[in-house]
Amino acid sequence: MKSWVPALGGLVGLLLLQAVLDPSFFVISARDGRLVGSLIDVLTRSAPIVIVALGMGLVIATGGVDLSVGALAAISGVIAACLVARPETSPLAPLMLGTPMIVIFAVALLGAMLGGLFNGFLVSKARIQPIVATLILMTGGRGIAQWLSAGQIINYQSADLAWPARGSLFLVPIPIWLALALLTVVALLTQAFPFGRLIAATGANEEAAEYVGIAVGRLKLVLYGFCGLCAGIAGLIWSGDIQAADASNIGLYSELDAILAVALGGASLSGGKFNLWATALGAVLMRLMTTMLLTRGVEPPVAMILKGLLVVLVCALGSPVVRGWVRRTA
Amino acid sequence: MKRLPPQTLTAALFVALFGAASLRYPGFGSFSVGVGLVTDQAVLGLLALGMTFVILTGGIDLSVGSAMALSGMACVWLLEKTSLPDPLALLVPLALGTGFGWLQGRLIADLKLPPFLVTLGGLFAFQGLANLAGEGSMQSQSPLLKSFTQWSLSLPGGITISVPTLAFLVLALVLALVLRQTRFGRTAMALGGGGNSAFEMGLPVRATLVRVYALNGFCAALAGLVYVVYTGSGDPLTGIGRELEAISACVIGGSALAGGRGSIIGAVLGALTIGVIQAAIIFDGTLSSWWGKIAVAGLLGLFLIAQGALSKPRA
Repeated sequence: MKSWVPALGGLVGLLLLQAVLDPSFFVISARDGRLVGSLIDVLTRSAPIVIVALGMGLVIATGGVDLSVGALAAISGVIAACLVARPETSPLAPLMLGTPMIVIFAVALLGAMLGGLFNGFLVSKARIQPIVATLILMTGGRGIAQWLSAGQIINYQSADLAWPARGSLFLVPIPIWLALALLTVVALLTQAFPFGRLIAATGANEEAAEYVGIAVGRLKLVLYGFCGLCAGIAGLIWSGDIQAADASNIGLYSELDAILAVALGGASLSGGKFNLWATALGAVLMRLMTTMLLTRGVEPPVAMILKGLLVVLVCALGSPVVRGWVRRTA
Repeated sequence: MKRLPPQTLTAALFVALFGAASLRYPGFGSFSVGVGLVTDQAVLGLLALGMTFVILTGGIDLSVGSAMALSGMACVWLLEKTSLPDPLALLVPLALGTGFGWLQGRLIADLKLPPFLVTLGGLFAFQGLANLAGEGSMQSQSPLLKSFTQWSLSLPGGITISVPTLAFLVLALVLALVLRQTRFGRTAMALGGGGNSAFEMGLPVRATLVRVYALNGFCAALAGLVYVVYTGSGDPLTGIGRELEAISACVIGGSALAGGRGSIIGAVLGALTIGVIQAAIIFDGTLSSWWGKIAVAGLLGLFLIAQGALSKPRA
């Protein structure tokens, strides 16, 4: 079975179910130069998860994991918000006055990417287990974001800063464009060039990959940096969406969503096998499921419990032991 | 040449930090601050005790923070919202935590799932359950709880030992003995360090793993109860980031994350070292709480890098 079949099947199944339960879900109209509708809303909201899952998918493919994506998203969101709103208590307030928005975006993304490179350094050079190496920034990163924002929630009124979340191009919301563009570029890079093979080889057997001459360390460094960059982009979207940056809440629990998307996309969580398109499908599937649960009146904590159980279930289905049982009974 | 045990370094670091803080902040270097430190770190210490066993087996448990929040919220919820007798309201969360730990252990041992994934799922499931019990902090008026909060053991020399301190110290002592003197403890230690040697030697790998995670679940649940006794209330958000602190305490105390090396005294010293940093930040008054987070994360990073550098030549 192809790895993307379960994700696509689940997605189609949920959409069919939704068509029966509530056909108005699929109604799309254009308002103020932007498409609106529940379906568009689900896609827009899944876009940042797709972006985070993209970076996470590559990291997991090398046999690693990045638990710090939520914190890195917070760092990027907070940097951008502080450079625009300039709250007095923030250490960033006096810096870079009068810089154009594009530079502010770049600096925010750079902040998140540096975090990712730090993860990559710990994993590839200091040889620390990825779970623990990225755990450092998972909490430390939130501390840094809180320091940068002086512990406040930074509110701002800036259409420019909210553009990655609220803008649109040819009627389609910017988050969807961003996710599609990143996905296409990275998927093509990994499919049309040997790059993807190098990643898979590293994840499948790191020692062998090193012996055949793959610069495993440098590869990991780049991928963790890219994962941080992805988290940074998602952070700008999450913060722009509510025009506020809350260091403690931006991207909270997004590491689980991203890992779950990768797992739903049929990738091996121990590395060596990945399909970025399927990962993106997994991310949309998860967002659709969450939306359907919440609109049916399921309380958010219950949705969280279900998500936690789903992680365990999905990885249990991939376990060799369970596969053995299935083979014996079938 | 015989190497010094890694705990010596932790002990030296603890003394150095405590000494530096005493010189810098008048009133820090007193006995009462020292005893207060143990009380303040009882919750974290309990988490670190269970985590020591998990890390010894080469595993990790990311769910302890939310397991602790769940146990605290469950306790207050049972006390306030149900007519369950008070002592049972304290025992049920303990059983619940142990049971959830056992379940995670079964998934890890029997299905051979990666510990971090199973416990990450646990993190979310337990956090969801804790939020379900109450969205915000919940006070309890239970007289039994009050008597626990107020009770203290007076020792000669004006030292008073509260319930959280007592729970922490007693469990540390018991687990130190379990780790050193029982078959279970030594098997847990043999599981880590990579390879199949424990299995080849005929040790009960699966049963021991399940028991280690159950024990860790018990410790997390007890930490949640101690938090409730300490503050008189349950808080669903109290566990966020605690798993990192617990893992940090173990690593600072000399536990190797690959498993096989670690000690209870190390975990206790690690928790106290983190406590000194946090206490110094509170004493300073001008430093904000997030510096605590950054310092702990930084210290963990330093110790991990040092550990890697020290173990390389031997590998």
